[in-house]
Amino acid sequence: MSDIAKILIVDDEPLIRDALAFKLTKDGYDVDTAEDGEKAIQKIESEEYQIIISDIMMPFISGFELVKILKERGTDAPVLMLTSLNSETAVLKAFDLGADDFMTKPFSPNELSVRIKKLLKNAKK
Amino acid sequence: MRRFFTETYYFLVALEPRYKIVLFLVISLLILAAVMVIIVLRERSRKNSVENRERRISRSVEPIIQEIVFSEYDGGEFKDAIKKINRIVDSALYRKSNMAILNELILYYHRNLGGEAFNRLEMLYREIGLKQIALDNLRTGEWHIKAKAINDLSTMRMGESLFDILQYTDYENQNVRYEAQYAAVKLGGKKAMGFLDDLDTPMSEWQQIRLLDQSLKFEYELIDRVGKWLRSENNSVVVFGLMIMRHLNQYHEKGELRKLLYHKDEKVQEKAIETARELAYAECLENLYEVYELTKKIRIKKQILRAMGDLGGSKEVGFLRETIAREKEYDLVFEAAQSLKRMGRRDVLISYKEQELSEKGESIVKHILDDRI
Amino acid sequence: MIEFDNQNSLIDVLIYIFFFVTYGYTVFVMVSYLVLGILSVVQARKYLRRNSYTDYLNILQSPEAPTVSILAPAYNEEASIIENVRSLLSIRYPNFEVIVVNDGSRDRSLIKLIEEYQLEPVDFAVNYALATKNVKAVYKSKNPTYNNLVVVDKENGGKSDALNAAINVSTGEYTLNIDVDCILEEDCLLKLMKPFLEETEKNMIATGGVVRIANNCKIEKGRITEINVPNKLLSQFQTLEYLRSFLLGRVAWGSLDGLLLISGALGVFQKELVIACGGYDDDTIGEDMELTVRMRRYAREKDIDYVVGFVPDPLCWTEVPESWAVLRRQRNRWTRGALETLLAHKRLFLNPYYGKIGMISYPYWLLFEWLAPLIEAFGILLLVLFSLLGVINISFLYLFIALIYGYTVSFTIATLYIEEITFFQYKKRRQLLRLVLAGLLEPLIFHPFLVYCSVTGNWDYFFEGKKAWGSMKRVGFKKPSSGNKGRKITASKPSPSPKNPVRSSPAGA
Repeated sequence: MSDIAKILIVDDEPLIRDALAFKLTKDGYDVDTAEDGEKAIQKIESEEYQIIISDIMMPFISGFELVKILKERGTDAPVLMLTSLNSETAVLKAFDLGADDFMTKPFSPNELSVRIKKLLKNAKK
Repeated sequence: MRRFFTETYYFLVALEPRYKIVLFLVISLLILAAVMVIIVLRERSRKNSVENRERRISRSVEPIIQEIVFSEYDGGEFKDAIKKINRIVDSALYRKSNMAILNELILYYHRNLGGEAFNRLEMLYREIGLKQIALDNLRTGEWHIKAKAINDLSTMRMGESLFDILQYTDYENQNVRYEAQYAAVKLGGKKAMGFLDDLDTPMSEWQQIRLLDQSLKFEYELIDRVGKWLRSENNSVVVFGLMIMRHLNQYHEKGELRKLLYHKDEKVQEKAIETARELAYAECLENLYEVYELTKKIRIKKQILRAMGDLGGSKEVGFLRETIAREKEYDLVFEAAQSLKRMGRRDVLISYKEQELSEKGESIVKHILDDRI
Repeated sequence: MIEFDNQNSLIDVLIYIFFFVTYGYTVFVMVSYLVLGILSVVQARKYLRRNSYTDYLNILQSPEAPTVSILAPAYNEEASIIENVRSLLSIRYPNFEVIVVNDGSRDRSLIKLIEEYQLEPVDFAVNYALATKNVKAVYKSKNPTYNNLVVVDKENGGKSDALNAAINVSTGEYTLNIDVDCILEEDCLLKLMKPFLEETEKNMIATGGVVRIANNCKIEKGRITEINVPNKLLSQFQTLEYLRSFLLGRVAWGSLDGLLLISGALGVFQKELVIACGGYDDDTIGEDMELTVRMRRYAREKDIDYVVGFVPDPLCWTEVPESWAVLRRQRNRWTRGALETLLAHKRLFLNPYYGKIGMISYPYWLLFEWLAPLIEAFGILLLVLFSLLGVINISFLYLFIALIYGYTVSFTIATLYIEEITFFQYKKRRQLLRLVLAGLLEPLIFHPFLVYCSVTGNWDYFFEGKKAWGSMKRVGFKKPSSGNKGRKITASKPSPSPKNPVRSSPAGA
């Protein structure tokens, strides 16, 4: 594993995807993007990521399903849900399915950075 | 050639009037149709070019905005970036529409981002002149332009425009009024909610949801107006008051809440019971029994049974158990069983004796005990 | 044209009357189209202007958003069921459930669902608030991702029966009733729920939305990714027809609160009221129209100050028949369905008690939707006869037909124009031109075909007995559920006349 952590961003809205990619690249990560759950799974199969950031409401394979599938496959990478859903049920369901962190939109990019750092630190242990 | 025209002319003149009318109509319709086809096609080209322009502008502005939002820019760099954007949107013909495209882009980012990024976007919005455009639109636009301007200003949290917006909280057009009220709460906080005290027009659920959404940001501050709202003649204000009470834990008006349990409007009554349950207002259980007896409405009874599940003790367990055995209404048996389960009393649900439950009751109890559902 | 001499005066007068009525009727139809067109433009503009600043995030994030059950009846849909359910599950809305009813399919629909979504049967206590065929089992997923999916397996009973079964197991306050093979826009539920949340004065009982044609559109993973005009002429005709009917007709009727039909392909209903008025009628072919009319009637008879909404946005895409034979059968069925509903609810006709629907919508539907094709066919027959007999002045007639043609074409093009300035779906110039071309041919080819379908539909209904008489459900007989616990309510006893008196408020019933 190289020193630079690889991050996969899964979001169906291009603007968000681009903005996140920009920010995280600036933070010094190696960033990759996918526009839906299915593409994300394909990417994860061929590459190893240290962290995955995923939206929930996406066409076809939702973020919930994505987490579930990843965790079932034994992917180690922590998954951070980043969504405009902010109901209690959504949060509970996300963690129940194995998500490692949860943030709602509008989100602070700086807060996101800190959380990513923390998740990576925990994952290394 | 000339002869042809004169002949046609005389032919037409000689026609009966009804022929003339119909012929005239047919020809004008054909011309109309042709003109419309041309307009449609031109409109199509125009829209396509607008879309292309939109794409082009987004593509070139996006990286600049990203830089502004995510980098540690100093004053000079910020000014440069603004100059760059200005150059992109500048155009003799399309400046107005370019600015509108830029506006949507910034709003989109703003809706999704928070924290420091948020502040930067606000600064950008001001500096680039979009705020001024919104204020001008607010003053001179048609109702939908006004409403949009207010919405933009409040989305971008332009606190200094609160005063301009407040003038529209009782504007004649409902849409503008709604936007202004929402903006007032967003920009002015709970003080700006005074307009609810004597609102006499019904407030839509949509508006209630939006105002609630804003109010949730007040955290758990005390909102002393709630009492007034609960006493309002306007049912939509009462319901909103109850929502605020519930979601912001405003315990101080419990007396009012108890009275509302008997309210004659079904929606208010239902909301009141729900609120009592959410606030764990166990002292009102006696009133709930009373309301249960008084009301014929299934929705209200369901709400009460649910409340008992959250607030009740052993006495309520007995009541719920009875209800399951005696009650004929599916929904009520269902609700009662669910309440027992929520109270952690699976034992009660399992312990029904043979023949004690109807076939239906039995299947409902089974349903509730099935954790997979 | 008419010279009164003594011998022929009677025939002349008759002919005169015939022409007077025909011309008058035609002009009336034209004017009414024009009025509807104007109304809908006003309405669509207002809607778009309001939408320009509406943020649906507010409701998407709200803990107070009402719960909705999406009801999807499926019969032998194994080819597409997995994808369709998947796209339903990814609709944008905060709290909804998806209820798929396998209506006794003979293919592997159920097995496919069970495998894909890891379903297992649960001890579901089905409340037969609406009478339906026996529910064999209710399935839920072992996978918590799909905890808002419910699959009902029941004995075959038709679409109405399946929808009723779905209503019985649903838990939402509202139901979104759809055809399972339709493709929904992601935001469709948010947009359809908005009118319910915005109405302050009246009780909104249902809203409908615009259905568009998916033929030749690019579809990926249950979503439309590129909108195209259909390739086949027949589908292009239908595109124009749908545009007129939804963009103009229903938007206008919606703004007048005079809708008699919320399409079975897409509509949100207040569940309590659907159950109170008896649910879908299994015995009718046009179950969607019948329910809409019955709900309106029920609400009126229970003194509920109600309203039916309509969202002018295109929210749902469906494939239309591409063969003349299939289309003929579909239209034949629609004709019979509408006819059946109209006859079953004939007491609405010009009955001021029912307000606008009695005085305007119903008569309009009767006169223009049902009778228009019949009158047209009859008129053409007579004209041919008259011209053979040489009793009429043909040149004026030709001119008049030219007028009708010109009007129809102009109106179609006006529709395209309105689409262009409002919802802006067809982005390619070339495709737009093809629609214009189809518009020129439509009155000559497609329209006569529709008249033919309608006439045969009427013939089949009245003379071939292809109808489902008898047990039409009527308004206001059945008290839902109370006192009926544990026993299926027997489907609609035939009753001589609808009972009107208000028994209890439906909210409490």
